[in-house]
Amino acid sequence: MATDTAKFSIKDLDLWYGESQALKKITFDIQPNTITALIGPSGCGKSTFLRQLNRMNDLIDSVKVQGSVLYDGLDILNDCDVIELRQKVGMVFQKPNPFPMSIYDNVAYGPRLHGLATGKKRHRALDEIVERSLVHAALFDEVKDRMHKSALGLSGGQQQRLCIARVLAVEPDVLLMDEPTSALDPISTAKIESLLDDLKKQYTIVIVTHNMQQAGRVSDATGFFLTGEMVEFGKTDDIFFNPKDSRTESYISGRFG
Amino acid sequence: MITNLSKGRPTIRKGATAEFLGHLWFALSALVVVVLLVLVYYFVGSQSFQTFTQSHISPADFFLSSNWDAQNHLGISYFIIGSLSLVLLSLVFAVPISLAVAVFISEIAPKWLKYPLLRAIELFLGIPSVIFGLFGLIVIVPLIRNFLNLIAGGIFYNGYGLVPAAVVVTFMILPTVATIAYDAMQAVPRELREGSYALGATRRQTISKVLIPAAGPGIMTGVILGIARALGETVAVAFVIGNSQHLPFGLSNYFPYLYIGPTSALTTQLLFNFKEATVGSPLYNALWTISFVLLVISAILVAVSRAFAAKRIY
Repeated sequence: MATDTAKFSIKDLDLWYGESQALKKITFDIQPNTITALIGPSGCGKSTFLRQLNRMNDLIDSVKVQGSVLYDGLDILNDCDVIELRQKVGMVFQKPNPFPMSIYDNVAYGPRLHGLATGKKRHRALDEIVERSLVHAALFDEVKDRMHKSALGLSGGQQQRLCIARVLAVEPDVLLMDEPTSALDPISTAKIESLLDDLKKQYTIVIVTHNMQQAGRVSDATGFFLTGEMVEFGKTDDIFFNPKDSRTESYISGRFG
Repeated sequence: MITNLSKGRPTIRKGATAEFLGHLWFALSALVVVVLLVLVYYFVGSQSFQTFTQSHISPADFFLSSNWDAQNHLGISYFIIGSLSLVLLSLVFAVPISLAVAVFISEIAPKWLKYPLLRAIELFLGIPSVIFGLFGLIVIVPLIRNFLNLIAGGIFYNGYGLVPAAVVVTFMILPTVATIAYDAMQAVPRELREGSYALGATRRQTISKVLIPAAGPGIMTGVILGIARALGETVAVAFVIGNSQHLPFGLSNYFPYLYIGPTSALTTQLLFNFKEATVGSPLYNALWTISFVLLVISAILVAVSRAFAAKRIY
C-alpha cells in the first residue's frame, strides 16, 4: 500500500503508560474511504491505538509516545493543533455518552463550538446542520418530534446514533469508533452496522471491535493486535480466511481471547 | 422436594434476644430523632403564636413594621431584610469562588496538589464559627473602615454591617459549597468530558458547557446548604454586623448620600435580646416568633434542596 495515498500512515508507534509499554512498533497504513477493523483480546492495545489517532491519550498524564503518525501527510504527534485534529478525526465511544441536554443541543454542540453555522441566517443554518447530521446517522425520523427533549430519554441504540450524528455535525473526515455496539442490543447493532456501510462513502472509518463477526461483516481491512503489537494487518478476507501468522489463526478460530 | 426445616413450634434461636434488643435500639434511636423534631416544631411554633394571641400584635404589623422597640412596638421587617440581604451578598461572594475552587481541584490541579487541597478544605470546614467572627472583627471590619471607605468615600460608615458579615459567612460556607460542587463534578462520568474533548472542545469549553451543567443539580444542593448556613449563622455574624436597627443599606443625607452600615439579622436580634426578655412579655414572644420564622425558612430550603437532589443525573 502506497504511503502517499494513505489517510493515516503509522510508523514505529510506541506508547507507554508510565513504565508499562502498551503499544510496540505499530506500523501500517489506513486507506481513505475504507472501514478498518482492529481486533484482539482485551488489553491488547487496540483502543489505546485508536485514541492516539485523535490524541485523546493526551488527557492521560502518564502517557508517553514515540514514533510517527501521519494524517494526510501531517505529523499529528508533534506538529498539529489538537482542536483542529479532533474536529477532523471524530470519535464515537463504547458507551453512548450523550450530554445531558436536548437532542438538538447535543448535535449542535460541535458546530456551536467551531462556529460552523455562520452568516445572517445563523439559526437556520444550524437547524440544517442538525437535521442533516441526524438524517445521516439514521436517527432523524425517530426524533424529529422531540428535538428539544432531553437526549437521556433515548434508548441506548438511539443514544449511540445521536453520538454519531454529533460527530458528523462537525464535518469530520475520519470516524474513530471504539467498540461502538458493545453496549447495544442486536437490533441496534444491526442498524449501526448498516449505517457504517453508508458512511464509508464519505468518511474513513476505523473501528475497534471485540466482535469478530462484526469485523468480518463491516470492514475492508483488519488489523490483529496482541499484547501491544500489531500481529497482522491486511484485507479482511485474507485475515479471516488466509491468515499468515499462526497467532492470528488461533484467535480467529476462537482458541483464545 | 425435601427440606431440612423442622416442623412444629418455632424454637427460639440462640442469640435471638440479643438481635431483638439490637433492633429495638436502632428503632428507638430513629424514633427519638422524629420525636425531637416534632417537639421542636411544636414548642417553637406554639410559643411563636403567642405574639399574636397573648400579646395581641397583628401579624401584618409584626412582619411589615420596621420599628423595633423592646418596650412598646415590635416589628421585624428590617431584620428580615437584613437576613435576606446577608444571604444574597454571601452567595454573590461565595458561589463564584466555591465553583472556581471546585473546578480547579476537580479538573485542573495536578494530582500531587489535589489531595492536599481537599484536606485543606476539610480543615477549613472544621473551623469554629466564633473564630471567623473574631477574624472579621479584628481584620475585616478595620479593613473596610480604613481602606474601602477611603476608596468609596465613606459609604461603609464605621466598617460594621452587611459587608463584613457577608465576608465572614462566605468564609464559612465556601468549603461546604466547594466540596459539594467538587463531589458533583467528580460524579460526572469521564465519558462525558471525553465526548466533549473528542468534538474539539477546549478544556474551558468542556468545563463551562458540559461539566458545570451536568453537575448543576448537585451544585445547587451545595448552594442551598450554603444558604441555610448563611441564614442560621449567629455568633460570627454578631461580631461584625453592628447590631443596629437600621436597614443594611440606604440613602443618607450627607455625602456620599449612600450608606452600607451597621444593621441586624434575625439571628443576631435573637441573640442580643433573649437575656433581657421576661417570660410572657411581648418581647419574649416576639423572639420565639423570630425563631419560628427561621425554622420555617430552613425547612423550605431543605425541601428545595431535596427537589434539586432528585434532579441529579449523575
